Amino acid sequence: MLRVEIRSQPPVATLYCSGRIVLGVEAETLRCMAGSRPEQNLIVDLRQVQAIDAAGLGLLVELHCRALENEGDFTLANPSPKVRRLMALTNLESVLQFEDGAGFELSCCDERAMTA
Amino acid sequence: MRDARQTVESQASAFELVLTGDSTAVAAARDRIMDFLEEQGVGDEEAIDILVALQEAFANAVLHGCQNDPSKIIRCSVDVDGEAVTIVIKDPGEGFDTSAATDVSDDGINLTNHGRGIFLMRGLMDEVSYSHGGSEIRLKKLRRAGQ
Repeated sequence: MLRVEIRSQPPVATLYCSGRIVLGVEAETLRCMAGSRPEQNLIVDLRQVQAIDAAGLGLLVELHCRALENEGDFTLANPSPKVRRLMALTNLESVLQFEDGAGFELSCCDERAMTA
Repeated sequence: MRDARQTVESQASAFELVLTGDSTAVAAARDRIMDFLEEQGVGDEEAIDILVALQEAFANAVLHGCQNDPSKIIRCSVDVDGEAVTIVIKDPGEGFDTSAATDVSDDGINLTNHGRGIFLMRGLMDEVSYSHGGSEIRLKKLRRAGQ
């Protein structure tokens, strides 16, 4: 299961994820919710993500590339050591942008949540 | 588990499971196997690695071996002893050229949204091998002393 909560403070949207970002409805949910955001910069907070698989990692790369195309920023916040290890194994640590603590103090201008 | 479409036979430290070849069956099968490993005393650190590798192996079997077709069948066996956890997953597909499977570009970076599964499995498990032309994968994770 994956739950995504969105907080918007234009031009930044923060997607707080909890659960698993894995192949299937979970990854598709995050893809749809991230893809529908009008903000130029996205932060995906992974603090509550217990597991991620290759499909989930691929989705994060996809969102990273889309942000680059739109001249925006894509940041991963607070990945657990487990998740970070998988990113290291797949050589993504040198590609993706990380920031511990990012997004947690944003004021809530727009909030939505979806569970898959 | 997903109703009558999956069957489970469990004996001592061996476990067999059959699931349908669609992605909706993967989560329940994966979780059932992880429950079995927990019952067998497999430690958390090994279990986390096995969970991710198992997810990848099932995803490959469903997407490439079964084309996400629920009329097809995936067979899985799990053996646990004092030395290792061994998982074998067999799909009905024609397999693939395992020697040609690449996960990253020459500089080691993959910027596509696919192609990381085999790389992850090799990084997390102690042994990953294929047979039957690639339609059967064998994953082995050595257990830490004291488990």
